[in-house]
Amino acid sequence: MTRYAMAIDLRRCNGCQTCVTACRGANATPTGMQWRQVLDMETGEYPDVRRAFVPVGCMHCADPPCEHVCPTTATKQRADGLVTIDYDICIGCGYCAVACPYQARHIVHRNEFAFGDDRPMESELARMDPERISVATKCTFCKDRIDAGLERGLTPGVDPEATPACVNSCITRAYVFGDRDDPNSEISKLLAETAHFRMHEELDTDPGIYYIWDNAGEDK
Amino acid sequence: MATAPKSVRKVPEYCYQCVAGPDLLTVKVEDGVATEIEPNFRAAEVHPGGGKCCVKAYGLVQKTYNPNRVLQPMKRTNSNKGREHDPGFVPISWDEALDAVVAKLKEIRAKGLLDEEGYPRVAASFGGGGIPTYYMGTFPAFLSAWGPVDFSFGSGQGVNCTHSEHLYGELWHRAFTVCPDTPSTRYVLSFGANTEASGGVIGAWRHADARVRGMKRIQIEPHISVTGAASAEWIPIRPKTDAAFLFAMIRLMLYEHPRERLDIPFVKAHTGSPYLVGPNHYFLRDPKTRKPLIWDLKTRSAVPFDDPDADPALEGVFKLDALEVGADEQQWMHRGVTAQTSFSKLVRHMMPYTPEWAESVCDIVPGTIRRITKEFLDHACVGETIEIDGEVLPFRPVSISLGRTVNNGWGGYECVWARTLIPCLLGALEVPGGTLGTTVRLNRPATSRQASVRKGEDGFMEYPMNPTDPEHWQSSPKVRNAHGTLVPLSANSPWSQALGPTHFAWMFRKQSPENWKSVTAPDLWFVYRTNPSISFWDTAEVVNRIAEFPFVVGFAYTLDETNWMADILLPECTDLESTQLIRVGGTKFIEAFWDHEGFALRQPAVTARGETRDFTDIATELADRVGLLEPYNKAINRGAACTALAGEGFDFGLELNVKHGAEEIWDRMCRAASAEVTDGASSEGLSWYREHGYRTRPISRLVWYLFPELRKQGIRLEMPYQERLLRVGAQLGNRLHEKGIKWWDTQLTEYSALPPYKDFPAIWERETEAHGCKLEDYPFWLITARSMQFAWGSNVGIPVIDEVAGNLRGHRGVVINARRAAEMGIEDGDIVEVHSYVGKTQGPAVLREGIRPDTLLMIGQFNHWATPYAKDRKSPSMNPLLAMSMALTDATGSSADLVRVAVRRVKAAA
Amino acid sequence: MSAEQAPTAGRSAPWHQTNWDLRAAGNFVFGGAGTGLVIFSAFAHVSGTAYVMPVLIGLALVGLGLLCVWAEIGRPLRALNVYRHTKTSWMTREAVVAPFLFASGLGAAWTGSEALVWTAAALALGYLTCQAQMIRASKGIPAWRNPFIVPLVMLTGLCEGAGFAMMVAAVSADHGHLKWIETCLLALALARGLAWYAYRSSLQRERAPKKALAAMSKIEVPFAILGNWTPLALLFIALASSSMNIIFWFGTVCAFAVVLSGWLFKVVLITRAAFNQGFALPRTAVRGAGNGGPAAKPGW
Repeated sequence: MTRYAMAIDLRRCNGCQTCVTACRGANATPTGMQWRQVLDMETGEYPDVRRAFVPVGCMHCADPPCEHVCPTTATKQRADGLVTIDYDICIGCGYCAVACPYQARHIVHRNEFAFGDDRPMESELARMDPERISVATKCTFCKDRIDAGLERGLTPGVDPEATPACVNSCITRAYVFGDRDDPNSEISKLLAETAHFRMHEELDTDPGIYYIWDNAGEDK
Repeated sequence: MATAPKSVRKVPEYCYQCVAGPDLLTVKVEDGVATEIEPNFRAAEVHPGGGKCCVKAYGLVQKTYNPNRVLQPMKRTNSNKGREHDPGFVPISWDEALDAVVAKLKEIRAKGLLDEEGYPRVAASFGGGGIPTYYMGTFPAFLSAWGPVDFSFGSGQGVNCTHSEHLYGELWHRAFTVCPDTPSTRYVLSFGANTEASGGVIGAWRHADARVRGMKRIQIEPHISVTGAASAEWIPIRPKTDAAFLFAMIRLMLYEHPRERLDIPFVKAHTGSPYLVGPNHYFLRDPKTRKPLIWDLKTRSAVPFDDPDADPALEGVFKLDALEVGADEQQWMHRGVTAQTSFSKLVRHMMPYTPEWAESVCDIVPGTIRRITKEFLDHACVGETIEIDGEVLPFRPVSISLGRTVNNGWGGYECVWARTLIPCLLGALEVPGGTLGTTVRLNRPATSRQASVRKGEDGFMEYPMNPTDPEHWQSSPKVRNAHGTLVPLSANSPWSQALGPTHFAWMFRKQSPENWKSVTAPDLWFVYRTNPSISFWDTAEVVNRIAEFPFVVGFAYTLDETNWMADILLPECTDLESTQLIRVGGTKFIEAFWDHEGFALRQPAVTARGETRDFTDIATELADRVGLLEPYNKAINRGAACTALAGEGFDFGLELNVKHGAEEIWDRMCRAASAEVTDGASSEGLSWYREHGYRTRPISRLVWYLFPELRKQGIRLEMPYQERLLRVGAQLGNRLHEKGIKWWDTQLTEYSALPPYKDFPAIWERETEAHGCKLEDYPFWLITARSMQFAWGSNVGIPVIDEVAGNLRGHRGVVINARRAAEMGIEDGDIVEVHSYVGKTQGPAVLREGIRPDTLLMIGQFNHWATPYAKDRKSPSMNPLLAMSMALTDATGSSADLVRVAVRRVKAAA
Repeated sequence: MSAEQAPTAGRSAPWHQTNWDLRAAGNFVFGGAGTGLVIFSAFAHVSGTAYVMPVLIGLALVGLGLLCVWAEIGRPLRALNVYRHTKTSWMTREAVVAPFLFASGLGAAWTGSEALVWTAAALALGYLTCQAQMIRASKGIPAWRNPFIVPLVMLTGLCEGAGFAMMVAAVSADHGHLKWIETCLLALALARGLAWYAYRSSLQRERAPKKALAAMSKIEVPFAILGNWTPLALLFIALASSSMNIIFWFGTVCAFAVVLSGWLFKVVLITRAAFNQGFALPRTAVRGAGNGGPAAKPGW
């Protein structure tokens, strides 16, 4: 079996927002819609303060609440673990959005252009996709890249042409993508060597993004 | 689905929107439309940041299609200039626009290139860090062909750069900027160095690797920046008191730790520590050779510093006969004079600076300073070596970095001195793991730090000081900021004008100081990729001065606050529309340390929008019409626009009297580059680079380190004692006083051999009080920080960049300590007004724990009022709150972006 | 949309969901009241009182709720796709029940068949269950996913149904039946009140975003005190009283109070207390040296 998953090394991320911007460009999402986000979190009280940058997005859960609630089956889970949305079926009810504990789903009812509705840019018009209006959208793990890459015999997570844009763009190598079920994949090896957690694990969604916070140790 | 494109191409490009570039990327072009930026994945093989490109590059698609672009030449119709006067730009043809500019240029040539005060009639200002040269094609060749040009109207230099580091860094270790040897360092003290925001892809990449490797970085700064966030520890220091922390560290190393914790052999052999100092504070010299003397423990006598058999005494008091040479060749011949070594002088000098003293200054408890000093020593690995490409070098994995407010203005000298001295004491300067310089801009040649090193008479590196002796001192400034007259350290390279007191060009336009010639407005001012009306300090004043300029030519992308005062706008092709070849690799700003060097191409990925023209074609057209085609082509041939077109075994030089198109020029440049990189084996031209994007060759990592070159030439690091600066300062004082100039006297005090700590914050506080304000009414320090999304980028009009920057707390807001805000009744998002004695600005309050209660933070430089999109964002900026002031100007001609302010709540959050 | 307005720009503490607004709340408001009323219609039928009007009103309310949803969804012309996921989606199940509910309800109104009335009532209960389960299945909203939301939403619907039944009885002059409705209402309000506290204490115990707790606290007075316990007391008085006036007026006032407070609760639940999960870290990362930092769960 294959389960595509992502490891994000929080020790590396510096909050630069490159992945967010790359995702916006790669997926031509409308203005303001960030399938990939990097949060700026703060803990503690002055002067004992920590600031942390945390990339978030669709976790491609193994037990995805969005898929369970979707009344149309637009949201599906592929055999390789990717949670997908069929824009032709989705009715834009928003149920998946309230079911997702990661705030990963977005619906817009019109395509806002960066410089205003009356001044769309050529690059926006070229890639505007009416099918994605008024339906749920989210990070796809760049499934089109993965699928096109696989067709060419490439390996997701290894070959950039088969790897999500955020992973490709990361300037701190915080992202590692690959097959969690393959013990020889980079992600599996990295997770074996490191201490990590997944967000909101108590909600039992079995999310597909792992956050690395330290090297592996007996107490971790 | 959106319609599938018929044709898809990936076009290799470079991005140099910030000094940490270039990044190598590809742009996806679908049916002729640029749609997506990606890293040039192939470049991972040569690029030290994995071939990635930074967030700013991803804004290039929007930059290209921005509907706010100026797409045809424009002329001003409103003869009144100023913020309040709409320029009334109307479109004109290229011919009309060029005719207008050329007519003015010809008129200037007819009158003479210098005006009645001796200043160049043509001035030009470009954005920071030399970035615009990576986009202006062959325009540097035009300027070279033109003759004298005044580049001294600053657009932010001196307050937004790391100014003291530029000048003193180049003096001490050919370090225009400084960074840790990140790939091998283990412990970094970062005093406000916002490397994660300003270090570009390579900086971020290297530091991330280092963190995972276990490198410990301590971030010492008043607020927790993105770099603080990615550091092991944050220590909130009181603004502008960093020198106190550093001085206390030196004191601890000298007094509370055994000498053997220092690298004594290094200190003796590779620094000026053993040099003996006379009663008049100058080195004691051999009367015959005038070489500085050291005390030889073997012979128990004074010998010249370069005596190969000597065992220098590091400490002690010695009696000897010697010559002492002071300023302006003043000489004292001493008999039986008692002298100390420079090191002993240092030890005595540092005695008062205990951690307990430092606590009272910088608000950090002594235990913390002691712990950090100990950790620093523990990590220094004194005595260890490492082999790099066959050469055995000291391995000292400790480093200190300084941020820009730490580096700029008063206190900058002291911090840079201390930051350079500490690694000298540990043998950790310019060696693997230690503190490294990156590049040279004041010394020549700019392409090699090693080649710029020559041994001076006193055993230190030579330095191209602007002369201060009576015969050669530049008594009448040649450019308006007077760097050659007032700042010996600024040297005289093409970069030097930008490294003087660039605000003086603006300040003295309004009123010249006593006994100073008047500063005229340039007859013609070129501006490109710069916006001093926003990015300088005291921006309202800068706008007023620009408005006085009679003829301004703006190479324009969009309207902005500076070209608002232009007479002619010339729209150039932007990043993805024009052609240029640049050098890449080697070592360069911030953290750009490559294992390769070569060239990279920028090329038209899409058809140029509107009537925009390739900058090279504009430059050629101007040269031709002004009658400078021959010198212009000559300048290109000798390498003014990238690399020389002829070299050993190749000659692709342009015919001198022919007007060449951009494509032809860059094809020749590509051929010359290919020949250079392959030692003449290849001469592939533009079409090859268009396909491949870049061409490099491997280089030895030894070029990262200056120490091997110093060791080879037997050169000592000029530490700790600054005899040369002392002399230069005294001579400069003599020259100025001879002209009756007293207003630079405070600055002259900076020329000290061993800098004492001064109450640096008080300098800014006094400025507030000098304007009749009570300090208690201005209880906060206002500071700023870089934003990686915007720094250097000229990209404030790009929505996607603004959007993603908004994910970081503080963007477009006023960051304030949460508890302090609560005490003042300010809630998150409330609109607050921040005012200084100069001006005021407004923005939403951003409540954070990670900032000192006495400090406010405004990230970036915004406050736009003309730039489309940006002007609607209503952001605060600290620049209007800073005054251009003589009192705030240090001896290098810089100040710091720091001011005392008050804050009040204006209205509740929307 | 500017960056500041972007879905989660810069936010890590829970913020209010933006996908379901008053229109979605309308489905629960009218659907709950409507199904409750249909259920009471069956009792009315048994007790021999007017049931046609209540059934029709109940169905109209349910229809109004569905209309609200239809107005909310992004692609209303594809609304029938809602039927594709009976396996796990409570929204599909609600949609599946709806036509049978309408058919049986209208059939009962048309034919007077007791079987059909009870079928309609059973389907209404099913429909109400679907609604409550639909809210509970929204795992991203802590105030919704709490298990006590199911009895609370269902009891709210039943209370509203009883309230409406009371109003219909009052208007249709079936005053003789007011007492048994009042009895039912009293029992249901008591249950609803208990469910409310069970829900709130569970929210407190299981933890929920501070703002969600605050939103619920804000309706303690209008919902619980004025909308539940005060009517409960009045109903006691009414039931103890032999005065028709008291029975009538207290019952009517209580009906209004219970209905309006129930609606208020659902509107607040959907549009005021629906703070999402936000983002949290069980620990912050090691930054080169030292240890990882403490957990971060802003807004909780």
